[in-house]
Amino acid sequence: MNKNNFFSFNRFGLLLRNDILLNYKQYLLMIPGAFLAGYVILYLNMPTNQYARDFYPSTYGGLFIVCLIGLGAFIGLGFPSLNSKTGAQNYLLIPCSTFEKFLSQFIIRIVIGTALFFVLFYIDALLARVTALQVLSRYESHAQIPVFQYSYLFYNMNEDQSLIKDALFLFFVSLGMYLFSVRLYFTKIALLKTILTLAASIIIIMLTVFGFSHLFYPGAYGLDVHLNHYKIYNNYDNFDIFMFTILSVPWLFFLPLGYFKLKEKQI
Amino acid sequence: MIKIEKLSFNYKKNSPVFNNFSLEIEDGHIVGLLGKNGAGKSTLLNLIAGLLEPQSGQISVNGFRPFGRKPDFLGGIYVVPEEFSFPHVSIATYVKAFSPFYALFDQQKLMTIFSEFELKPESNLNKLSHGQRKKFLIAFALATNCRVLVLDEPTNGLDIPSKSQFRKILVSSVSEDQLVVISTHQVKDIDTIIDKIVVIDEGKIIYDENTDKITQKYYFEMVSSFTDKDQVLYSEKCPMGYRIMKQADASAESAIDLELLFNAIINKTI
Repeated sequence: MNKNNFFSFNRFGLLLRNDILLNYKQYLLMIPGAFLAGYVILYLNMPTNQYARDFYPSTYGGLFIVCLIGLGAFIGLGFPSLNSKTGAQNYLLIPCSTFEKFLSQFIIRIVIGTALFFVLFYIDALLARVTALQVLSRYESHAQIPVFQYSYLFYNMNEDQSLIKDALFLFFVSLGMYLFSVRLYFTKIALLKTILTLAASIIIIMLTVFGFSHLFYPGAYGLDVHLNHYKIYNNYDNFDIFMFTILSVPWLFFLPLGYFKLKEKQI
Repeated sequence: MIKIEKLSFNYKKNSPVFNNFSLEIEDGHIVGLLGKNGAGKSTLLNLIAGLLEPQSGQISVNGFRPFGRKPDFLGGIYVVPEEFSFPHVSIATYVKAFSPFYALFDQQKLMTIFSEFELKPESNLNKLSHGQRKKFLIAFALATNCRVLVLDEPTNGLDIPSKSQFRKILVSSVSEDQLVVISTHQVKDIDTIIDKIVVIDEGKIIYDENTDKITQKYYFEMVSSFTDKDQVLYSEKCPMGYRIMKQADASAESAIDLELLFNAIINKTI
C-alpha cells in the first residue's frame, strides 16, 4: 500500500487550511456565541436574589451537561459540505484521501471543539460566579457559590464508583462519536435525523430489554426490567458491568463506521 | 485516458442506466458526449469522476479506479458540474483554498481567463450570476491543468458572447496531453471545438466517431430546396430552406452541422 495515498502531512495541512479559509467567519461567530450562551445558562442558574440558597458544587455537573448539548450540536454539524448534493460533490472531489477528510473534521469538530468547550465553560463558570456574587452582595445574602472545578462534575461519586465515572465519561465520548459518524449516513437535516436515529435505537434497546424480561420472567409487570443480579467484581454486579459495556464501547465502532461511510459515499 | 469495460449501473430500485457499456477515449481529445435528456450523460460523468460506484464492470481513468478516490486520481481530474454551490467567500479566497491541491495549477492562466471572462477576484462568489459563477468554474478548471477535464453542460446559463468566449478559451487553454469530456444537449455550442463525438441513448453508445472521419463521410449544407431525396440522408426544414446531410464525395468537405448529425443519429437515419 502506498502510504502517500492514505496520508500526507502536506495535503492534510492544506485541507485544514482550506476549511479555515472557507469557514473562519462561522467559527469566529460560533466562539462568542457559545461563550455567551454558556454564560447565560450558568448565570441564570446561580443564586441572584435575597431568597437565594447556596449553589451546590454538584449543580455545575447538571449545567455542564446542558451546555454539552451545544458541543454535541457542533460535532453533529460536522462535514457541512455534505448537506447538499452539490456541496458533497465538491467535497468528495477535493484531492485528499478519505482518511485526511475524516481526520480533519475529527480534529476541528472533536479535538478543537471539545478543548474550546472546556475552556469556554470554565471561563463562563468563573465569570457567572463573579457576576452572581456581585448581585448577591446587594441583598446581604449569605448564599455561597463555590469556584468551579472540573472535579465537581463527579462530585457525588466516591472512589468505589470509579467504573461508573469511566462509563459516564466513555458514554459521552460514544455519544460524540455517534453524532460525528452517523451524521454521514444522511444528507439533509443530518443532525436531526441522527438524533432521531439515536432515540429510535434507545427505544429499540429498551423494548428488547422489556421483552426479554417478560420472556424469561413471566411474572414481570409492565415496563419492569427483571435481571438476575450477582456480584462480579468489587462492588459491581452484572448489571453495572453490562451498562458499562453498553455505554462505553460503542465509540470504538462508530469511528470506523463513519470512516467507511465517507469512503463509500455516493452522490 | 478513459477506459470503460462492461459497465453496469443502476440507481436504487430503478431500471439499469448502463448495462454492459464499454467506451475508450484516448488523451488529446475534446470529446462531445451527447444524448437526449435522461440518456445517462451525467451519470456517466459521475462514474468517471468517482462519485458513483458501478455495480459491475471496470472503469479506468488515468490508470486509476475512480471510486477509489485516491488523491493522485482526484488531483488529475476536474469536474465542472451542471449544478454547483459555493461557500460564502470571494473568488480570491476560493482560489487560495483550492488551488494548492492541484500540482499543475497555473495562476497566470487563471488571471488571463478571468480578464477574458471579466471576472474580478474580489467578487463574492454567491453574489455573482449563475453564468458568471459557471465562467469562474470553467476558468478554475482550465487553470488546474488536470489531465482529464469533465464539463457537464458548460454552456448552460452562459450568454451568447460568453459561449463564444468559452469556445475560444477552451481551445487555446487545453494542451495535447489533456482529455476534455463535454457533456451537453446544446450541441450547437460546442460543434466547432470537439474532435470526437460520442452519442449515448438509453445507456448505450449509438455513435462514436472522430470529427475528421465524419467530415470525410458526410457533407452538410443548407439548400433552398432539394429533389434528389435518395442522396439526402437526413434533412430538416429551416427558414432559408433545408439543412441537409448527405454522403460526402472526395472533392469537398463541409463543417459539421452537429445538431443535424445528432438528430440523424437519434432518428436512426445513419
